[in-house]
Amino acid sequence: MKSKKVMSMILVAAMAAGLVGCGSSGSGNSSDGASDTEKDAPEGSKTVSVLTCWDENSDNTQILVEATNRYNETDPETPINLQLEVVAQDSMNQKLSVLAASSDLPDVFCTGTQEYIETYVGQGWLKSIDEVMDDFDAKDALAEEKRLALLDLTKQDGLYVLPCDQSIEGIWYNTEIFDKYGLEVPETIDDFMDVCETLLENDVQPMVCPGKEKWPITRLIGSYATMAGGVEAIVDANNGDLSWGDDTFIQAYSWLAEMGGKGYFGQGVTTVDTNTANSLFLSGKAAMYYNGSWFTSNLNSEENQIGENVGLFAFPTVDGGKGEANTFTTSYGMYWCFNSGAYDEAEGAWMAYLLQNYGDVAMELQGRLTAYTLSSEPEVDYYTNIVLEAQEKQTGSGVWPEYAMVTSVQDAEYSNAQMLILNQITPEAYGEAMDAAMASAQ
Amino acid sequence: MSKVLGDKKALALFTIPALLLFTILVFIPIIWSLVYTFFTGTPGVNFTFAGAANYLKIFQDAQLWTTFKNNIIYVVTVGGGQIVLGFIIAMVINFGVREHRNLVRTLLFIPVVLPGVASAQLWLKMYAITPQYGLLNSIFDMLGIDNLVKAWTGDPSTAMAALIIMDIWKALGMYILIFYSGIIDLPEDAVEAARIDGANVFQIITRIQMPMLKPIFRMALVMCITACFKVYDSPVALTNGGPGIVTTMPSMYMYSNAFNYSQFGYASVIAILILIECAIFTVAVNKLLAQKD
Repeated sequence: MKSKKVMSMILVAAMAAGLVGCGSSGSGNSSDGASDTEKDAPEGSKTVSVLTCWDENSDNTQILVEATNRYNETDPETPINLQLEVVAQDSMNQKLSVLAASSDLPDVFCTGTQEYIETYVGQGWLKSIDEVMDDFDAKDALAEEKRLALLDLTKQDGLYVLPCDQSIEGIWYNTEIFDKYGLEVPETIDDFMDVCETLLENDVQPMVCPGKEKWPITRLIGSYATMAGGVEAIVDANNGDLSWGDDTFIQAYSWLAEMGGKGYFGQGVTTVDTNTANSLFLSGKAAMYYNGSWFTSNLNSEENQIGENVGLFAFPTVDGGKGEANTFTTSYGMYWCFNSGAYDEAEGAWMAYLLQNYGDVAMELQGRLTAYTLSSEPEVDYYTNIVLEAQEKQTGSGVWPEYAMVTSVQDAEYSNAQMLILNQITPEAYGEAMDAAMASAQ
Repeated sequence: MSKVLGDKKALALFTIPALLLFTILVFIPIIWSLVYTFFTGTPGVNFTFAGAANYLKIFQDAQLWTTFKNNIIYVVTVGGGQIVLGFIIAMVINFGVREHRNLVRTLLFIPVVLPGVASAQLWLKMYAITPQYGLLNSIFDMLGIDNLVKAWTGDPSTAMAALIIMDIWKALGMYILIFYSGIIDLPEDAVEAARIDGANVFQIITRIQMPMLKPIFRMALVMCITACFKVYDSPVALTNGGPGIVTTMPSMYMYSNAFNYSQFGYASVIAILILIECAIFTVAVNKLLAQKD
C-alpha cells in the first residue's frame, strides 16, 4: 500500500518532469529566439520569408524592415511583405544546415559563414547581386573597391551577398581614465604594455575581453599578427601558404599569453560574455575594449555611463613589424543572401531599392556605417564621428584570422585561444594545433 | 493473466502499437544513421559515398578521444554521485527523518523539474567572479580562503568539477525518490529477523537491504549512466564545452560535426559510438546485477 503510494508519487513526478521538459523544449524554442512575425500583407504583395538573427526592432533586421516599408511607400507594382523568423546567431548554422538539407532555404537569410556561401553558390541557390545591379541599373550602390573586397572575403568571382555592415575594429578607450593617470594613446605595443601596467598598478582593469565568446580573443591575435607580419600574414596563413607556427604568429600568441598571465584582462576572462564586457567598459570599470565600429550602438544606448569620455585608436605597431600604423581590421559583418529559387521581377525591384537605400536607412536609424553609397552627407552622432575620424586616418585594412577558415578549423582556433589566454598551452603548441586543424580540413 | 497471455490476438493488440512506435522512432533512425556513416557532406546538398573513411577518421581524431575521456570522467563522477548519494539520502529520509518527510522529498525533487538552461543560469551566477563575485566566491572571500576564489567555470582545472556538482544537484532528487520507493517496499520481517540475530545497522543495510534492492539499483544505474553518456544541454548551457574543450562531450562534438562542419556522416559515426557505449554498459550492468532465481 505504502509502495503503491510512492510509486504513484514517482509516476506523477516523472510526468511533471516530462511536462516541464516538453515545456522547456517549447520554451527552449523561444529561448532560441525563434519566433515568427507576420505582417499584415499589403494587397497584391509578395511575401518574402526572412531568416534573421536579430529581432524586428534591432540591428540589421530593423534596417531591412524599415527599408522595405519605405519601398512599399513608393507604391511599387508589387509591394513586399516580410515574414520574419528570428533564430539566435549561434543556432543559425544549424538552422541553415537543416533547411538546406531539406531544400527549404528561406527567401532571404543572413549568414557570416563563408563556407556556407561557397556551398550555396556552388549549388546555384543564391541569386547573383551583380545580375540584379545590372538589370535594375543599381551598380552605383556599391563602390567597386568594396565590391572587390566582398569578392575576396566570400571567395567568389561574383557578388552573391549584400553586406550588413562596414566595420573597422580597434581599441575603444576611456578618455577620462587615461587623463586621470596621465596616459597617452599608445602607438607601439611596448607603450601599450606600459599603459596596461600603469592601469593595473592603480587598480583599474586595463582591458576587457569577452573571452567566453572566444572570437574576441582571436581578434587580438589577428591584430598583433597583422602588425607583426603585415596584412598578408593572415591571408597567406588562411591560404595555407604560411604556417600558423610562423614566428609572426608565435609573437602574437606570446603577447596574448603575456597579457593574460599579467592579469590585464581582469579575473575570469573566459567567463566574460559580451554583455558583461560591454557593461564593464560602459560603467567605467575597464579602461580599454577591443571592439568594432558596431559598438557605437551600445555607446548610444542607456547602458553608457561614461558618456562622451571615449575614443578609438588602432592596434599599436610592433617593433620591427611590417604592419603600418593606423591599420584597422575591416569587415562587412554578416551578409544578406537571397534564394535564387524565390527570385522574380518583383523581388529584383525590391533588392535594387535595398541596394540604393540600405546605407541611408542604416545611418538614419542607428548611425551605422555600411558599405553602400550614401545619397547625402550624413549627420552623425558623436560616436559615429569618432569612427569616421579613425577611418580618415586609416592607412591599411586587415582581415580577421578566421575570415576564410572552414568552421572545423575555426572551432579549433577558438578552443585553443581560450587555453592560450589562460596560459594553459604554449604559443608553439597553439601554432601546431592550428596547423594540424588546417591539415585535417584539407 | 494466463488467459490474456495465452491469447495471441490480445497480445498483438497490446504490443503492436508500441512496437510500431519503437520501430519508427528508434530502430529506423538507428539504421538510417548507420547508412549515413558511409557518406560525407550534408544530405540533400553534397552527400557523397565515402566507404569506411569516416570510421578510419576516428583513429586520427584526437579531439574525439578527448571528448570521450571527458565523458568517462563525467559518467563515473556524476553517475556515481547520483546513485550513491541518492541511496544514502533515501536511507536517511526513511530511517532518520520522522516528521515532514513529504516536504523534504518535495524540496529535494525541485531541481529535477527545473529546465536545464535555467539550472545552468542559476549556477553560472553562483560560480561568477566578474563583474562581481557569485555566491560561492563571496563565501570563500568572506571566509578569507582567497585561493578558492576563482573563475570556476572559466578555469580548465575546475570547469569539469563545476559541471559535475551542478548535474549531481540537478538530478539527485529523482534517484532519491527511486531508491526511497524501493526501500519502503522492503519486507520488514527480514530486517526484524536480522536485528534479532544481532546485526548492526551497517550489516542490515549492506547484507539485507542492498541485495534486495538489486532491481532498483539496476534500473537506476542504467537510467543514470545512459543519460550521462548522452549528456548535452548542461555542458552547453554552463560552459559551452570550454574553456578549450575540457567540458566538451561526444554529443556536443557530434552536433558540431553535423551542423557546424556539415559532416553528417562523421557525426553519425559518433552517434553510433555513443550507442555502442550505452549498449555495452547496459549489458554489463544487467549481467553484474542479475537476480539469481
